[in-house]
Amino acid sequence: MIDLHRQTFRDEAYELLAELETSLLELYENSSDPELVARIFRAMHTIKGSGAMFGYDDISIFTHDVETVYDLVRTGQLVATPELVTLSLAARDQIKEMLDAADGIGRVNEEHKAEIIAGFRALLTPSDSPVRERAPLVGESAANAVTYRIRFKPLPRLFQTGANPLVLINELSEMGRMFVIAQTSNLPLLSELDPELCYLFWDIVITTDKGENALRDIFIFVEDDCELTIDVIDDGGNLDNDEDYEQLGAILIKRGDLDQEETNLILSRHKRFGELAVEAGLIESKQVASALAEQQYVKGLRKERQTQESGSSIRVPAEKLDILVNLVGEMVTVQARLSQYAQSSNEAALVAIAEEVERLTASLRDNALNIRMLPIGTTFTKFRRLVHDLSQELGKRIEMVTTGAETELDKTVIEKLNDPLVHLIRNCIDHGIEMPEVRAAKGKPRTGTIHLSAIHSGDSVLITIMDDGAGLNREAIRAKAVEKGLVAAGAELSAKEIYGLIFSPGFSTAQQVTNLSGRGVGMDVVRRAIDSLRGTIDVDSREGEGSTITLRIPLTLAIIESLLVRIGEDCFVLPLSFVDECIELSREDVARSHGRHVMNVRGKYVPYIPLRERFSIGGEVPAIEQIVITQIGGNRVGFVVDHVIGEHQTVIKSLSRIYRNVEGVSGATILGDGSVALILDIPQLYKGAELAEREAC
Amino acid sequence: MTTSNWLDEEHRELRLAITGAMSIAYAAELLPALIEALDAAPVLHLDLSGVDEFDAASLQLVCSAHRTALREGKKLFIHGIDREPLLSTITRAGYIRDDCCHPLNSTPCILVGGKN
Repeated sequence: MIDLHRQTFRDEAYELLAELETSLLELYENSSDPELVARIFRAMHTIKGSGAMFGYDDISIFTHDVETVYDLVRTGQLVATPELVTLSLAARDQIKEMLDAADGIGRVNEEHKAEIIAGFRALLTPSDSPVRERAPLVGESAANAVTYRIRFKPLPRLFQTGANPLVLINELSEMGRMFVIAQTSNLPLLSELDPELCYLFWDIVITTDKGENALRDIFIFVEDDCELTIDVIDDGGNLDNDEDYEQLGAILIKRGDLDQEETNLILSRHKRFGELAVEAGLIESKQVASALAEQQYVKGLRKERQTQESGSSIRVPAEKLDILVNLVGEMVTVQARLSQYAQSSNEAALVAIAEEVERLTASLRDNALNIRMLPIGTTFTKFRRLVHDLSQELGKRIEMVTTGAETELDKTVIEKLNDPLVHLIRNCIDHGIEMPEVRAAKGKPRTGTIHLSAIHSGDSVLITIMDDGAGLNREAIRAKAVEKGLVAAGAELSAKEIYGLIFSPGFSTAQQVTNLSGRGVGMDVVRRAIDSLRGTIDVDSREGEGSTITLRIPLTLAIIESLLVRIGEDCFVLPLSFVDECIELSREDVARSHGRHVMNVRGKYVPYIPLRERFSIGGEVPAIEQIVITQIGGNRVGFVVDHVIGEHQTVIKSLSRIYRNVEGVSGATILGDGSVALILDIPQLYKGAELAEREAC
Repeated sequence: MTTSNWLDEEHRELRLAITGAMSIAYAAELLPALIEALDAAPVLHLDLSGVDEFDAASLQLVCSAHRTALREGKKLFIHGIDREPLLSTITRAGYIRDDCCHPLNSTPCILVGGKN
């Protein structure tokens, strides 16, 4: 039994350590994000607590100091410096080492451990103040925690009763997280001041689950000597008046300081607001500040709750999601049939129902697909560690910059992207970025940069890996390709074609095999992985300046936006992401180009592929056909069809094994009327036509 | 609570040092000392590094002194508050702003990192 628990603890701890690493690397970049600090603190806290519970006392003791330091960071008494983050990363690795050692893998380096502890202790000594504001954990603000606005306005005689307002405020702070602002508008100048009267009053915003009565109890002994108003400003749930706070929050966002700590935030940047208010003579600047603080507090609270809600999650096996998405796919198909039938039935009631079903299905589909969407950022952090570790191993200095980490992609896509991205980044580190001395000699900064970015582009995501290294050596690639017999010795190749060669199986120009890359496996694997994702790879390079690899990956593998076309009796589907435009093709046009398959589009010639011919479909050719012009790897190519039906949401069904080798078709879908339409593999059709052309020459 | 002060030879700067318990019990004593000190020179250094007790009454005295100094065009510097128990008292009392409470002045609050 105990062993089972210990195993659970280990599993959980490994998970927490992974999360910790991500948070730490994020903190390295954004040292002022309180949510991050809270997350790190929580992770440390959990490791410490459950470690002690399951007999991992050494881990518990080790983690204690780290936790204490992050508690200080959390309460704003320490700043998360890069040094602290590095130290914490080391601590994270140390905990992992200790966990491994407990499992009998390796052993703990006590010296190293002592160093880390000393590092944390050194941070603790200077400002470990005895009185510390109690700031509950983010996760502690339970759902039923209510936020109150308290105005505590002591009567001037309060001091004479011996009461100390600060003691009351202190007591209040024990009840939950709070925010206090002293109001000084009644405070006179020294000449008019009676030192034994109380002029100050306080606005307090507090979040607590203790209830209003408990709050009032605190003030019970000064009841007669103060004005006390307590209002609920946030009931802990999702109030309808979110908007009210949004508006003031929006102002703060415009000023660019929404993410800073709530205290200094509002109070430092509201000057214009305060001046205006004072000029108008309506209000004192302090009151504006206090109101703003309240807005900010509640706003922060709600935001926190949101992240908390999204943070509270359940684990579901991926297959379950796949089944759901499949079912939704079928649903979409059936719904399309229903809509079509309803339209033709001319029954108003049925049409209304069909429309309702259509609306619901659409949101069901979006939701189902959304469940599988994950931000790509988690993978990015993994790469940052990879770059960090590998560059040190090679003695190179490399900085990794990432943008668009929040870009969302289907979970399965992200998983399948991991390996190709690792290959590509390793290549950048190994072949791309030069040694610091070499870089210096070339007049480049000693530290190389790898820029990893993700951005949405239509229904795909563009992932770019850009380095400022040596770039691809075209001559070396060509020589290698000739040596391998991939191209003829004298072949004329464009830059793009040469770069394309690096994706050939067994291709590597690395002079020596390192343990990172150069074994000749990799780039073809990358190509295959990306192909299987229906994605494309584009390589660009400038010798001496670096190279850029762009991956275009579809957002999801389940549903695509497409263009539905008809040839004869059959319907086909073209992925809309490739489509540029549609134009007409008349008999005269065909005659004008003397039978060659090119079309003059606004002065530029665009080659086209007549699909009727390509798929050997018989029957009457209409007088006016349509050319769907697509964009493939920078080339415009047309596909001739009889008729363009329109845009279509296509639920992709994979073809059975028998049809797997059919060229030019990547899948199938079921249309509203129940018939099957094939999804055209446009790049493959293009490549096939290109090849046929070359052979004909 | 005890107070002591030094005036420089040119009568330009006065240093008022307060030690011990700076609390309501001594507020009546402290007020004239502050008024006097502000009158004595254009620049007043208020040294609280010897204070070991600090409450709301003294807080509002210092705050009012700052307002008075601003009104009279004088300079007030405060020393020795970035330590306990003063720091937590000031924070707990809700003095957490960056700018001055004085409606016509944008000087930083003296209790929160403001230097004059």
